[in-house]
Amino acid sequence: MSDRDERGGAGASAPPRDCTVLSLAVADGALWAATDAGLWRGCGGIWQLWDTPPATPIVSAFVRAGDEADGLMLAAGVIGGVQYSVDRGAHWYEAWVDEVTSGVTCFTVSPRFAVDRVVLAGTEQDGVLRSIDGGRRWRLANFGLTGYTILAIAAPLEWGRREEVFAITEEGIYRSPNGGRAWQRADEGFVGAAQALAISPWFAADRTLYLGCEGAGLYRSIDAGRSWHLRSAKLRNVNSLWIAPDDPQLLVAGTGDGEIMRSTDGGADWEYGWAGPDAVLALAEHQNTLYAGLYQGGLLMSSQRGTSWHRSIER
Amino acid sequence: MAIPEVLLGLAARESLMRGFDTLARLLAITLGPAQRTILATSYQRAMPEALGEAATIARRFVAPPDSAENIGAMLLRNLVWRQHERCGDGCASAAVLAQSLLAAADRYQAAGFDLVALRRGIDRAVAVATAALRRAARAVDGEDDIERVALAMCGDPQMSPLLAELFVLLGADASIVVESYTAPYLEREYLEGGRWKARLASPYLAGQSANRMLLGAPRAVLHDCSVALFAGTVQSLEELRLLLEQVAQSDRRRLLLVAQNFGEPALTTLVINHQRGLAQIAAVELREAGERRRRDFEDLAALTGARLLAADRGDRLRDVASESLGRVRRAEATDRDLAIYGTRNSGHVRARVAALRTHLAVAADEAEQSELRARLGRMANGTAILKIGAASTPERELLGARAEQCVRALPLALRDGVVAGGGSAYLFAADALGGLEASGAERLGVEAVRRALEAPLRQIVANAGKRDPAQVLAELRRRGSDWVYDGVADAIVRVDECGMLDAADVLCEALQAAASGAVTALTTEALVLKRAPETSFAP
Repeated sequence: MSDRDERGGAGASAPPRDCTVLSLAVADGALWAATDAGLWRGCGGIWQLWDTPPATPIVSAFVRAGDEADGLMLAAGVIGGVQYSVDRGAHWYEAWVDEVTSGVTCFTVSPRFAVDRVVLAGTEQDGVLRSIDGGRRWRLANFGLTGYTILAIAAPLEWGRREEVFAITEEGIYRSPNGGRAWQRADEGFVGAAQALAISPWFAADRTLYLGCEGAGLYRSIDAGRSWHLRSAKLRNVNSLWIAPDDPQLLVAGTGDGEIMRSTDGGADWEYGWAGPDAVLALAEHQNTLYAGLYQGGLLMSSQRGTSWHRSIER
Repeated sequence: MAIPEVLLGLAARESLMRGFDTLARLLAITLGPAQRTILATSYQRAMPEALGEAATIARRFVAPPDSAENIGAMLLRNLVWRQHERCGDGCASAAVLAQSLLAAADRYQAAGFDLVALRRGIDRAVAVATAALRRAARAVDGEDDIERVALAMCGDPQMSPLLAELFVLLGADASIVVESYTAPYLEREYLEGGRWKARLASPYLAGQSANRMLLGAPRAVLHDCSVALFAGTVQSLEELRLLLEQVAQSDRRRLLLVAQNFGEPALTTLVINHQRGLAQIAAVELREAGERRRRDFEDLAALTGARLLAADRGDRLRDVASESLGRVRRAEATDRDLAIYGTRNSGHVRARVAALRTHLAVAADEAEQSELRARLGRMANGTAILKIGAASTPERELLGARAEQCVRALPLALRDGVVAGGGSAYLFAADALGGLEASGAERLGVEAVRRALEAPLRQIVANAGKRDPAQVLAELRRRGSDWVYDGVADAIVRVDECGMLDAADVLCEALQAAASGAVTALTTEALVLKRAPETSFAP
C-alpha cells in the first residue's frame, strides 16, 4: 500500500448505497465523491474513504485546481468555510474567507488557472466567492448579482477574448465577462427556474450553453447566454447536466425524479438511460466511465456514456 | 485707475483672429488617429509635460504676450473647455471647425456682406448639418461594438476592452472613477452596493473575528439586519430604549443605526448591548454635511425601506415604530464608509433611480453630473474604479487623461449612437446643406459652414502627412459615407472594418460650440484692454 493509500480511511468499499453524493470531481487520476458519508476517492474500481478536512465534516463541494503537478485541491463544507490542500489531500488548511454565514455549494476553476490562480465558489446564501491566489483567500464578488443563492457556477474549458463565467442563482442566470469580478443578467428568453448548467467544450467557437430547469424543459443558448431558446420540453426537473468533453452533441441529464437521460443531438431528442427513485445530484466522467451521484442512493456508473447504468459494486 | 486701451474695427478683429488662430493651430495638431504630441514647459517641474489631448492643451495655454490676441485665444479656450465639460471629447474638432468657419465668414464680412444675414446662414446651416448627423447615427449594440467605439475614442487596445466591460456591466449612466495605479498595467475594481461617506461610531462595535486582523481597519458586518435612520444626534439611553427593545424581540436581533452623531451615553449603551450579545449593533455616523447629508439619508431610506426620522421635523428616535425600520441583506461599516448590499429592485429604489436619471439628463454643471452619477451608482448599478497603471509617470498621466475623456464621451455614444469617424461624418453632413434655400449673404453663411465641415477631415489627412487632403476628400465622396480615411494605415477603409466611429452627439455639440464661438468672434467690433489685465486661471 502506498503512502497515499495509507492516508485513506479504513475500508475499501464503494460509498454506501444510501449515502447522498453532493458533488463529483476528477482529481489526481481518481474520481472524488463528496458525500454525507465522507469524502471518497475512487480509482480503478477501488474506493477509499479519505481523511476529511478537519474543519469540514461533510464536504459539499470539491474541486481540483491546476494541473496534476500542482496538487492543489479545494473542499468546502456544508457548514461553511473552504479547506485547501497542496499535497493531494494529505494535509488540509483552512482558507481565509470573507465573512459569510452559509456553506459553499459549488466551485469552478479558471481555464487559465496556471496563470491567474482564479477559483470561484458559489454559496448557499451569500453569493459568489472569488480567490485570486489558488484558494487561499476568498472575497465576495457579488457585483451585479441580486440573487445570492448560487445553485451552479461554471466556466468554459477555454476562454476566448473574454473571461466568461456563468452562474445560476435562485433569481436567474448571470454571466460574468471578466472572470467573476462582476455579473450581469443573462436570461433573455428564459422562463422558469434554472438548476443545472452545462457549457459546450467548444464554447469559444460555438458559444453554446445548456440549462436544465426545475419545471419543464431544457434551454439552449448559442450566443453565450445573451438569449435562450427552449430546446426540449421532454425533460423535467433537471438537477444535473453533463456534456462530453470531446463531443458537444452528447448530453446526459439527471433529474430530480431519479431519471437519467441521454441526447446525442445537442439536446433535441432524449432517450432513457436509467429510471430510479433517487434524485440525481451530480454527473462526472472518469476513465471512460460516467458516474452519477444520487440523493440517498450512492453512485451509479455507466461504461457506455449514459446508454445504460448500473450501481457501483460494493467491495 | 489706468485708462483701458480700446481697439476698434479692423485692428480689433485682426488681433482677435491672430490669437484665435494661434491656439487653434496648436489644438489642430492633436486631431485624428495620427495625432502628434506637444511638449510644454511646466512651472512645477523641470521635465516638460507631454500633452496629447486638446482640452488639456487649451487649459495649459495661458496668456500670450499680446493682450488683444489673448482675448481671441481665451475665446477659443473657453469654447474648447465647454466642449470638454459637456462631452469630454471633440475638443480638437471644435477648434478646427471654429477656425475654418471664422476664417471663411471673416472674408465675406471684410468683402462687405451683411453680417446679420451671414450669421443667419450659419445658424440655419448648423441646424441642418446637426440634424443630418443625428439621422446618420446608428445605435451601439453589444460589447464588441462598444469596444470598437471605445477604441476609436481612446486609441488604446488595452484600455478599450476594459471600458467596454465597464459600460456593459454598469450601463450608460455608469459611475466610474479613474484612478492612478502603481502597477504597470490597467486594472478595474467593482464596488458592489451603495457606499456612503460614513464612520463606525465606535471601534468596539467592529467584528471580533480573526479576519479583522487581516483586513486592518475595524469593520462591522451585519447580515440580514434591521435599519433605523435618524437625521439628528442620538444623545441618551432613553432615546434608544424602545428601538433596542424592538430589535431584541425581533427574530434577527441585528441593527444598523445610522445617525448624524452619537453622544457618549448613547454610544456606551449601544456598545454594552452589542458586547453582551443582546443584539448585534452597528452605529454609523454620516460624514457629509448639510444638503449632501440630507440626500444621503434620503437615498439610504429609499434603499433600505426605512422611514427617515429627522430631528428638524420634530421626529424623535424614542418614538420609533417597528414599521419605520428598514431591512438590508448585508451591511458593512468601517471608519471610512458604510456599504449596503442586496437591497435593489424595490419600487422606491426604481422610482428614485428614474428621478436621478431625469436630473442627470438636464444637469449642465460637471460637479452636479458627477454627484448624480455617484448617487445613481449606489442606487442602481454600483461603482467601478478604472485603475491606470503605466511604466512612467508621463505615460500614466496621458493614459489617465484619455481614460477620463472616454468615460465621459462613451455614455453619449451609447445614448445617441455613433457615426463614421475621422471627419467623414462631417463631410457627408455637408451634403445636406445643398438643399438649403438661401441667397446673398445668407447663402455665403451656409457656404462657410459647408467648407468648415470639410476642415476636420482635411486636418486629419494633413496630420497623417501622407496624402493630399483634396485627393482624400474626392476619393471619400466617390466611395460614400461608409468609408473613412485611416490616418495610421494611410488607407481609405470601410467603417465596419476599421471601427473608426465617433459619438454623434459629440460631433453635434462640437459643431454647435464652434459656430457659437465663431459667430461671437465674427460680430466683435471692439476690444477693451485693461492696462494691467488680470490673468484668468479659470477656463
